[in-house]
Amino acid sequence: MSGPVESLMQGLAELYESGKLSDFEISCGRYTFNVHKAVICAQSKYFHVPCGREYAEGQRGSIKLKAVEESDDDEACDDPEAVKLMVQFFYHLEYDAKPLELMPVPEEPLEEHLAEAPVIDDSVPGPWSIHGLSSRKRMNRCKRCGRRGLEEDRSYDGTRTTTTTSKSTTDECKSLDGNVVMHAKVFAAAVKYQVPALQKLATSKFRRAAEINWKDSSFAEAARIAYTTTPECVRDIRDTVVKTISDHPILLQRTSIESTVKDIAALNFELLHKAYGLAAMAEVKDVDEGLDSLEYGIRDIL
Amino acid sequence: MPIIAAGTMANAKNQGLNGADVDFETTWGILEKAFQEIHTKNASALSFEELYRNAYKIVLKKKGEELYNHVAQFEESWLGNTVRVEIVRHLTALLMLGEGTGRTMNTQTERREAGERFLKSLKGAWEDHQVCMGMLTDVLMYMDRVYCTDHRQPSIFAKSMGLFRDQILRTPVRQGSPTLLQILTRIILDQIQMDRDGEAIDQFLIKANVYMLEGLYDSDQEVEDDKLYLRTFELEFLHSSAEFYREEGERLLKESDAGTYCRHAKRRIDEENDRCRSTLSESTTPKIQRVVEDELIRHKMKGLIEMETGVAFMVENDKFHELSLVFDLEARVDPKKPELTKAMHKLITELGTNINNTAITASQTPAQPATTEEAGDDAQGKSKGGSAKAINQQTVAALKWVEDILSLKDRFDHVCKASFASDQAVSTAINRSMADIINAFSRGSEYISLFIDDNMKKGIKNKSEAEIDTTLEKAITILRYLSDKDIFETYYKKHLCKRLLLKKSQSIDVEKQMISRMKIELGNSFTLKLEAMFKDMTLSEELANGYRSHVRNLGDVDPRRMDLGINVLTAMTWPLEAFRGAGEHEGNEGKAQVIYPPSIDKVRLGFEHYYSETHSGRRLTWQTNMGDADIKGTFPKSKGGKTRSYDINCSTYAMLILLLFNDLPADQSISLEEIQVRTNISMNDLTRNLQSLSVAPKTRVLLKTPMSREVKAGDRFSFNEGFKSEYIKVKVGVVSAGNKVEGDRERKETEKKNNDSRSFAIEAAVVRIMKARKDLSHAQLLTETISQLSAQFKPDVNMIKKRIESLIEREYLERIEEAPVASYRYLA
Repeated sequence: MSGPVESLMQGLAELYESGKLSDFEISCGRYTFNVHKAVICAQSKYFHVPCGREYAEGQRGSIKLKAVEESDDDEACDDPEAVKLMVQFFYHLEYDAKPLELMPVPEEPLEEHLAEAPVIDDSVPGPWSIHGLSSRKRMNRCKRCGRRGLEEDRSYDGTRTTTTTSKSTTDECKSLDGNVVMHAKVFAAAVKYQVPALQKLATSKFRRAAEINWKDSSFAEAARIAYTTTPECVRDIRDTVVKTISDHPILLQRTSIESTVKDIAALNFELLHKAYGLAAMAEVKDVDEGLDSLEYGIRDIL
Repeated sequence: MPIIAAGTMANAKNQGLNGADVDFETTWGILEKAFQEIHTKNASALSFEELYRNAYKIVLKKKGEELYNHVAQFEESWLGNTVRVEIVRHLTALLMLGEGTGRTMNTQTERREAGERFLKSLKGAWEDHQVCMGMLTDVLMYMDRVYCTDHRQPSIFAKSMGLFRDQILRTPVRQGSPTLLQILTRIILDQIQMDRDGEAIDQFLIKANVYMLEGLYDSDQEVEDDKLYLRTFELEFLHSSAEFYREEGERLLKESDAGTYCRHAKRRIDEENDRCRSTLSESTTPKIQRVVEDELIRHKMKGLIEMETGVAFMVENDKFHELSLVFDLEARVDPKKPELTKAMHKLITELGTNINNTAITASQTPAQPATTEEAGDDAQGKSKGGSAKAINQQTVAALKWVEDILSLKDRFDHVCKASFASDQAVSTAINRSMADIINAFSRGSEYISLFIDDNMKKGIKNKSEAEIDTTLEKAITILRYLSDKDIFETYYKKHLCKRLLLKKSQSIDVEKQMISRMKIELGNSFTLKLEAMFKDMTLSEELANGYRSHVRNLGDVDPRRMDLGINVLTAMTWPLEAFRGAGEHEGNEGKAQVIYPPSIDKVRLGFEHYYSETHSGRRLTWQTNMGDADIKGTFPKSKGGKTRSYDINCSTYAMLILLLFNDLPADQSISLEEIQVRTNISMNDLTRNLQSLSVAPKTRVLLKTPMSREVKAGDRFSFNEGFKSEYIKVKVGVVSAGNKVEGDRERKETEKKNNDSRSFAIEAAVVRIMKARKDLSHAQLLTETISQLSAQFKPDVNMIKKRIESLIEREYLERIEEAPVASYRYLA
């Protein structure tokens, strides 16, 4: 029933929830997470340093990541929600962004989300659309989901069929996984804190969410986040923004989108580029490899 | 694509997206202050989150390049203004004076300590720099990832290592003075020199500095081959080491002995290996080893071997251990050991040539007076006697030669085993050298055969089987080296023939053993004829017995009838010419038969008759010169005595001569010429036999007038009634019937015969090859012929050419006219 990977995942989830043996603390805004150095350092190069002894954080045994609300509109600061999802990912290799309507619901226990997740993801055809899935299956599905997303993206030609497929699932997905803004923020955090696996996961989630929720007003915000908090060389999410807008030019008539596009020169240029049918901006390969390598890493350990 | 990307950049910048929002200077101010703290080892109060976030912000706002440059500038000025000043402070003024340093320093200890202070300060600076840059890299992680990767800039860590190199190592301490890198190199070399001189140094300190040089690169590209260590220090180190060992090697060659030199060289190599491990870098090990090997071994090997206490001395004084040291040294630099093998070759050639020369001198010295005397007519007898002695001396020389050569070989074999681990290359060289000297000696074949001959006749008497075995093995050993085996065969046949016919051999068993050994060593074809000789001997014995019983069965037993012992020899197998005296070599083939008295002739005819009954179609030729006879001589009573009778053993010729006196009254005499006419014995044999019968004091059964040592024309002979001997049995020896080395004329003849037989062998080989191959180029034919014949002898190329010519004339072969290279075709 439970193989080595499942056991490890289960064990990690238990450690996270109980906070047992925690040897480090990450705090951001109203959240505080009791984490394990080994777990976070295994996935993020960033955390090696505060977990070491050189700096004040290391001696205190805690790090306080400056939250957006504390500062005066500083893009370098973090959204505590995104940090929370990142920590969630460290332990579950998966994260659940809150649905647009519900957010934010700060103190909601994670377990409920996990239980809910399969229903929401039912849009993906497969034999596992049952309640109470094990972590292992969840992970598998997510991986599949990610892959599937990529495939669809490559073959996507804007035909009606695909669009209708998306549409039919919209209602369900809008409620939870369709939170484009949150995926963009998680992606930015993954880049900032050097978590390649999370970067990949967020990218695919963002892409699916954009396919479903492009009509939502939050898309303009997501586009802005994508272009201001991630470096130019990391193409993943930017490409999706450009593609979504050029697939649905109607968006440009919306005020929120209009002001965003006007503000961001790079987005401007890339849209123009796309409109004239020039090749994609850049190929990004390294991120794709992240998740696979992490999984292999876990297998190796076991 | 890159063009578009670049365009995007420019676009973004010009529009100044959010650029105004970032107060770069403020943010950098925070970072700079923190970096200052880090460099002064005061980082524990700093918040990593804040620093990272600020650096992240700058990069996010596309100020990555500015940040990078600011950091670089910060490091540059820190290194240049703070770190370098500190190091230079540690640098004693004295150290900077350069070359003169060593002499002006008060003591070596002071110099070493000053050097250590400098090394320590540099090591400290390097380690601090590493740690600080590690921390800075953590803070600037995002910049490295986004800015450096995207703009193909070296990481800030690599950049700062380059700055360390430029600011600390490459900048002159002051105008016109050497750089710290040069000083560092000089100080390390100086310390290593102290180490070589036996003073204790701080190896870890040097190792740390070497480690630094290994971590730095010549350029910012960080190419592996461009390590500063390889580019600067190692070159200097190898160069100065080469110089040091060159001088040391030369000095040692002059001042010490070869054994000490070897031990020293070995120690130095080990030391340098250890030094690389403990003080420098392992990667230098093979290089410095090569340098030391070059300077102390490769370039000095010849000098070492030729030292007064060198290899020749070691071999002479049995210094096996030291020889093995020499061997180890050379084996280290060249598996072929060219110098040592050359030395061995030279030594063996030298000693071997001595042996050869001694043998030649020994064989010539006594011959000298004989040659001068030969001018006079009446000196002939003396000359004979003289050369008899000479012959004896030559045999001694031959035996000595063989023993000397063998002991030479034994000695070097022992050296090879004891000192050179029976090394293949060296033992091959020794063997080749042995072969060279043995074959360089023109009488080698003859001497080896004589050695065996002597042992067969005398040497093996009273020896145990094991000893005999050793003796035989000796002969075989030396025989192995001989290339002209055909010549040896000729001599061996001749000597064997005499041993067999004259029954001189101690043991036929040993003879046969020898033959079977040769068979193993030289092959079947070599011993074929020798074995045939033994077979003839056996058959003859049966034949003689058969004849005797045949005679008995005739019934008519005549008590006065003579008993006949006979050896029937196959003419082709036996070297009968060997028994012709030196004087009869020319035109004696068809000489008339000697005249037998009727009593003897009857026996002869009887046997011929008996033989032709069993073996028809064969012709018997009597080799009277090889026979001997037992006769009874009766001498009349002398005053107060009684009749004496002796058993006289003499040659067949002597018997014929003596029988003439049976019919002669005691007081009459016969002249030499008359004897010759009545017996038809050649004059040469006649005089020799008469000399034995009338001159030799113990066997003087005839009287000669006039009395003189020589038998000359006109001499007359009569029966010596007063002959007396202490023994009943009297053996009449014939001069020069013994074993001997050949005379010059004999040798020439042997050579000529040998050349003839070689010609046949060559022709046979050529025809065999051509028959198989039909068409063949000249060069190939030569090669194949030489290889076919190599078991027998080393053929002379000119001789082969002549043989081919002759075969073409006789239409066995023809030249292929149209062939591009000279070629032949076989004509069936």
